[in-house]
Amino acid sequence: MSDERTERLLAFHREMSRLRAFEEAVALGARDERLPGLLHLGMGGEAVAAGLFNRLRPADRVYSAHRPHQHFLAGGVDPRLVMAELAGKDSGLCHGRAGTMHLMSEQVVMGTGIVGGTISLAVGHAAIQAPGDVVVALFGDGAVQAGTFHESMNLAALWKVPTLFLCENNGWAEFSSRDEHTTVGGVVRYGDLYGIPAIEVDGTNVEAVVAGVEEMLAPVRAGEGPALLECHIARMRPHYEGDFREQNEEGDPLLAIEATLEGLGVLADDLGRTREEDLAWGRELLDSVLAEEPAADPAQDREFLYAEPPV
Amino acid sequence: MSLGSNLVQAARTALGEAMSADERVVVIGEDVVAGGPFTLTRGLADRHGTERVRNTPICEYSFTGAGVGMALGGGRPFIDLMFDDFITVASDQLFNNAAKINFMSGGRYSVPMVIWTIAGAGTRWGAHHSQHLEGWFGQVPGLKVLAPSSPAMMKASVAAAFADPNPVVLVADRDLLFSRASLPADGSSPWRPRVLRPGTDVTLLTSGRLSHLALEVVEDLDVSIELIDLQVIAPLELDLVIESVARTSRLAIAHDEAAPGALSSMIARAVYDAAFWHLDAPIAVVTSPGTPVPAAASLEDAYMLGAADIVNAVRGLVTPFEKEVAA
Repeated sequence: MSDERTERLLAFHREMSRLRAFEEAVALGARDERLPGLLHLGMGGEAVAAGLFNRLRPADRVYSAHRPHQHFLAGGVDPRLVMAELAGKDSGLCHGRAGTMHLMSEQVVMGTGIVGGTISLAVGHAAIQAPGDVVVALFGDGAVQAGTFHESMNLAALWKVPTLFLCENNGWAEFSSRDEHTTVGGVVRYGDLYGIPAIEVDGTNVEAVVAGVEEMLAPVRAGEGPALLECHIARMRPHYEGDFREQNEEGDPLLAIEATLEGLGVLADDLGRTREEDLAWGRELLDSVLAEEPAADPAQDREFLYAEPPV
Repeated sequence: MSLGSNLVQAARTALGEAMSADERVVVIGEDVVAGGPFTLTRGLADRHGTERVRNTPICEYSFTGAGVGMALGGGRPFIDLMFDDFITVASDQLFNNAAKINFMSGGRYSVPMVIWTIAGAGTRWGAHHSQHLEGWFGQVPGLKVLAPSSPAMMKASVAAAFADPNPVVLVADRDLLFSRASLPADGSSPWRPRVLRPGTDVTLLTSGRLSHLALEVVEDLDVSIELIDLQVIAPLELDLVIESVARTSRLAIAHDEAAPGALSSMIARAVYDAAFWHLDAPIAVVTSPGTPVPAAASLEDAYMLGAADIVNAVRGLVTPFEKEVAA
């Protein structure tokens, strides 16, 4: 029960449970109209977020995409800052100028409201990273049919820059399935086309994610150029909060890790307690941010329009 | 520029100086290693290597995005977009990322990048290599846009763009690329309009090739023209123009632009707001016809603004109302 694997998985479970609880709190805030915005939740991607950041170093950088909350949290950003940003508070991560999709911080540089809009940034940023440091481009399978995915893969391969392209393939792009968006099979196949290493893993299994990230990061860190990792996950919420279409109950990465832990002898009750504690933490975070933090100040808008030139 | 550099040479000199002074400066674009089609980057790869002068495939969207990523990572990218027209392909990266990131991040990140582009018809190159779109860029909050009209001011503008922590689009007038012609008040700030010639009857605001053309034609007029060269398209800096209009009471704006009035109407609106009670006549706006730039020589010649357009506008402003009615 106290072997190394169990301990490691328990730590992952705790983290994934926190990520989930945060998104559950956001969903709750959206449902009762206490949180504004066009909220695209990352539920279903917890194993990818937890597994990826487990293998990153402080100087590595990550570009997130359309469902960015969990990436920022897994990247170490204080959840209170993220929640305050979603709530439009002055104390938010970006003083309320970003909101849900456009969050920006240090290791996780930014999300985006434009599908595919950050992939090429990860290529340019990688071109000036110090040797051994990498940049990860996170994107969904909806972005793979956009030209910039191909332009970016091609450019990264030509420039031989340390970019890990990480596709969270949840099988859905907005309201339609992957089959309706492309005649091409797996995203992983594009690796071969551009001559870069590529594998696919079960993105609901955190151990598989860690192993996949490790395997693909090795050549990238070694300076051999980019690599592609396709993680198959489920989109557990609709495209955005408030919509009612396509969501999955299958493929929950938390149920997967809990089944594994129970198989290793961990009590279901203990895991359930963790989940309950975290859900309570998320609700308390939402409530206290809404109640205690002041709204963002319009008087500051002009001052954020341009960066001031050095005098 | 007493040595007589042309506009492209002046830009290249300033770019080379920026690369020597700051190793974070990286040039990105199609065929930049070989110097590009207009020799802008010629010799830079020999001096600074192909890590800092980076060729790209033809993919304006993603190499502009790569520039944004470089800027966020602490680099100082110089993006050669080659033609104003090609910015349409990269516009999401320019408008949604480069221009907005300082604001969206609440000041956490700025995007110090320089975007080079040329604009202008008269080449018979057709509708995809001739547009002046900079009035449109000027309507995007967060971008800065400079349109210098002489080699000396181009050199100063490149240096000013690198010194600025924001994304700066540099627009080179295609007609002036290989021109060595200097202008009065070269050496002024590139961030403000400048008076090319003082006058008392009409304020005439121009930019690029039209500043040179206007300087020639107003000499022979019996109207005293105060000629102002715009230089900066965003953020608009119109104090000098408004102060001039307060004296002359009349304003004509002449500007090559694909969307007629995109820039000149914006300027006119600002002048009406600030100086309406000083005006003795409506502001005259001289702007390109509202069609795509045509390819055939006869059509393109008709499309181009010329000396007569400027002269007629100025004359119209000083023609007494009674005469106009009689005519």
